[in-house]
Order: sequence, then structure tokens, then C-alpha cells
Amino acid sequence: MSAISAESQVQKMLSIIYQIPMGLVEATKDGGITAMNAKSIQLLMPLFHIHKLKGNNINHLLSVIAPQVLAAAQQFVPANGNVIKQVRQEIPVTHANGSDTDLCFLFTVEKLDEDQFTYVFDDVTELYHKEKELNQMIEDKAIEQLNKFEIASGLLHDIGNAVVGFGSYITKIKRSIEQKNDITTLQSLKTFVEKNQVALAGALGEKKSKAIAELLDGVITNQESNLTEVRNSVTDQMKIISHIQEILNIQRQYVKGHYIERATVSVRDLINDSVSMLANSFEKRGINLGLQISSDMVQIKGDRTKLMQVFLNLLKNAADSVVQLENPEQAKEINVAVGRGKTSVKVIIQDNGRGFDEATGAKLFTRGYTTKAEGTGLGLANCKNIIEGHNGQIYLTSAGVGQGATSVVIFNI
Amino acid sequence: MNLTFNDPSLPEWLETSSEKDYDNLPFGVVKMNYDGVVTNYSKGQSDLSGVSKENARGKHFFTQVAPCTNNFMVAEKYKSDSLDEIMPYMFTYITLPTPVELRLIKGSKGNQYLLAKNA
Repeated sequence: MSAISAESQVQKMLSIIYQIPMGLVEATKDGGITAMNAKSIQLLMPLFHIHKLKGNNINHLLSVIAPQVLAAAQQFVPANGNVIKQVRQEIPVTHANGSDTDLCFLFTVEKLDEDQFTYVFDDVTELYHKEKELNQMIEDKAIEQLNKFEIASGLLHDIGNAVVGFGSYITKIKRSIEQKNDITTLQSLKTFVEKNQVALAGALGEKKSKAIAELLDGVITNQESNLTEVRNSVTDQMKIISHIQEILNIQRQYVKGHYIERATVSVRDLINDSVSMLANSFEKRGINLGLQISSDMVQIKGDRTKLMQVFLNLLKNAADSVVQLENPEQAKEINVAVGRGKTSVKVIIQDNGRGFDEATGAKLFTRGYTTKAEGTGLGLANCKNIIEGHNGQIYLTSAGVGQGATSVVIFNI
Repeated sequence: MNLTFNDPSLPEWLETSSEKDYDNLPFGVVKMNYDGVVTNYSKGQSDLSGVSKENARGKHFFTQVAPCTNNFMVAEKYKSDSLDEIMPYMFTYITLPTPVELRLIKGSKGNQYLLAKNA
């Protein structure tokens, strides 16, 4: 290759560099620009102009628009090498007409030797703004989603409360029809009439006294069949309620964790509602439930739905434990006591069920650990999370297998 | 020809003169149509930029001949209806930065001009 054609090759190369659609600047350590291509002038001149700089020293400009890039170059210790690669730099620009725009450049800086640096920069402003828009859209969407969750959660919560009230009302009806019906009275009257048949026949005549006995019979049969009907319909209603509660619980699983409610929660209502929610199933399983709540109860700040989950879980665990007693004759007892100290509220749930040994006790709150055939091992682990999230403590104690167990929840107030 | 770079009569003179006249000026002249396509590229301009007359003529000035001017400081200004403005700028002779002074002129008959001299 002759000298002339080699030179023209260099010229060609230079003109390619000149036209490259990316800013290229070669400068001394002090920032004096020794070479620059067209794109670099196109991109930098407006910035030099806005900041009233001469346009021959890149350090002057970098100190204003990208101080980190300048610092990286100045503090780069090795004799040569890559200083930074594709570092994103946002550049706020205020135009003469007062309008603001944000530019975004990608900077790559190479140190050639002690006194020579090359600065390569790419204008990615358009990409940057599109990304920003996209992020905003994603954020808006997430907020919208969160709002939906809040509405759903609130709705489930309200329906849940209404259903709890409804359930305890039905339980009350059931109790009252079992205890306070007129059949027993009628039956004693019938026995009385039968016993005194002779005397009555003497007074009223045989036909009339017989008619009275028959009438009583008819009334009793009628009452009994009415009662059976009411009883069946109450049972059906209770089934429907537990079905609704199951559905609600499943739905709650979906929305829980999406937001934490910090409303005022009455400890009394919390325990009362949890107990009445399970009263029906306890009764069916022959469990005696004792409840004692001291009169000076307070309100705490928290997520009612989640706290309710905790107490339902503890009560269900106690129930599962007492129905496993070896001696079926032994009374199945669960006692709930709620007391108040100066700085805390303490809920104690005591059962006379199976209990547990020390080794089991150590693992009870471990996620994934379960003693139940169908358990997931998530119940108590979740309880602990929820209670600790409410600035409280939870622990379980047992004197050993067969000795019953005690769950204690303490809220600091 | 004793016209100076900032002579007020320059815009009118440019409209009626030829490339030969431009070649005699002590500064560079680029004549282009409103679309930015170069019709005249004076010797002075060639000396400043390192771009030959042949390589400049018929090309789009702001994107092909001098992409360094394709921004709101220079190219965008030609979008206004009338323009005669002098400003400091930077050219590169190949890649060597050269401080220049630019005079941007928009003529009324379909032509616009970019004048440049060493600062």
C-alpha cells in the first residue's frame, strides 16, 4: 500500500468516525477537546450554550451535567483502561423559553494514557421517556389493583361480620327452642289427665274426659312435628352459614397480605365473635366452652380479620385436641380468659386435650411443621407472624402429653 | 469585494450573486433551498470544514454534510419565516474542533444561507 493510499484510508476512516451517530470526544485530562465528531457537536453544543460555556472544554460541561462521570474519569488510577461503561445520566435542561426537558445520555469513558481520555455518549432520551411512561403505567395499574383489593377486602370483612352476627342469632334460636318449648308442660298435663282419668270422668263425663286426653295427644304430636320442622330448618340455615363462611375464608386468602388494616379493634368483640363463630361446631362435638372477659377491656390497633384468624385457629386447635381424648367419658373443656394488665391485654385459651411434649413444643411455630394428618403446618406460623405484626407475643405451653395445653396471646397497649 | 461577515446588506447580495462571487469572500458560504439541499458550497466553507464542493453539492446539509448542526441551535432555527442571526459555534475539520462564528440567514426566494468564519 502506497503512502498516499494509506493516507486516504485514514481520511476515509476519519470521515466515517465523523459521521457516526454517537457522540465521540477526545480530550486531555484538563478537559481540553482535541477531537470530536459531528454527533458530539450536535448533542453538546446546545448544552454548552445553555450553560454559557465556550464549547472547547468537556470537563467544564461535565462538572455541570454529569459530575459523577467527571469524578470517575479524574479518580481513575490505572494508567489506561475503561473508566465507565454505558452509565446512564439524566440531564435536566431548561430552555430559553422556560420549558423544561430531561435528556438522557449513556456515557462510556476510556482512559488512553495519563493525559488522554475518550468520551462516548449516546442520546437515549426517547427511550428514557418511553421507559418512564411505561413505569408510570405499571405503577398506576398496581395502585388500581391495590384499590380493588382494598374494596374486596373491606367487603369480605363486612359480610363476614354480618354472617357472624347472623350465625350467633340462629344458635340462640336453636338453644331457646330446645330449652323453652311447651311440649314438656303439655306432657306433664297429659300425665296428670291420665292419672286423674277416673276423677275427671266423674266430673265431666267419660266422653269429655277422653276427648281432653285425645286433644292433648293431638296438640303434643302437632307441637313435636312443628319443633322437628323448626329444628331441621335451623340446622339447614347453620349449614348455609358455615358454607358462606368457608367461601369468605377462601376469598380472604386471596386478598390477605395485599394490605394491612390498622383500625381500632375491640378485644372483647374479637374474642366474642371468634367464640360465637365456633359455638355451633363446639356444641356439635360435645365441647364445653367457658368464657371470661374482664370488664375493663380496651381497644387495640390492628387488622381485625387477621386477628380473628389467629383466635379461630387457636380455638380450632384446642377443639381438635380435646376431641382426641382417650377416655370418651371425660368432659371436653376449653376455657377462654381475657384479662388486662397495666400495659397489656392477655388472652388465655386453655384446653384439657392431648397436650404435647417438649420436643413438639419447640417446633410448633415452625413453618411447615404439623402434628395433624391433614395439616399444612402454616396455621401457627401465620398466627405468630400476625401477632408479632401487631406488636404482640404468642406462645403455647403444655405440661406434657395427656396434660392439656394453654395458648397465650399478649398485646402490648 | 469588500463585504464583511456582519454586513447588513449581505442577505440581499447573496440572493443575487453566484458561487464564484461567494468563493472570493473571506468567509464560507453555504447556499441551500428551504429543504436544506445544498446548491452552492463556497471555497471558504470547504477550507473550514474539509468537505469538498463536489461532496457537498446536492446533499442535505444538516444531516449529510454537517450533522453537527442538526439541533435546535442551528437547523431548527431555519424553520422560522425570517432569520438573520450571528452566533458562536463549533465546527470540526475532520475531527479537529474549530471554534467558528455562524451567520444564519433565511432568504425570501426559496433559499437559505449558512455563513461561517474562524472565531
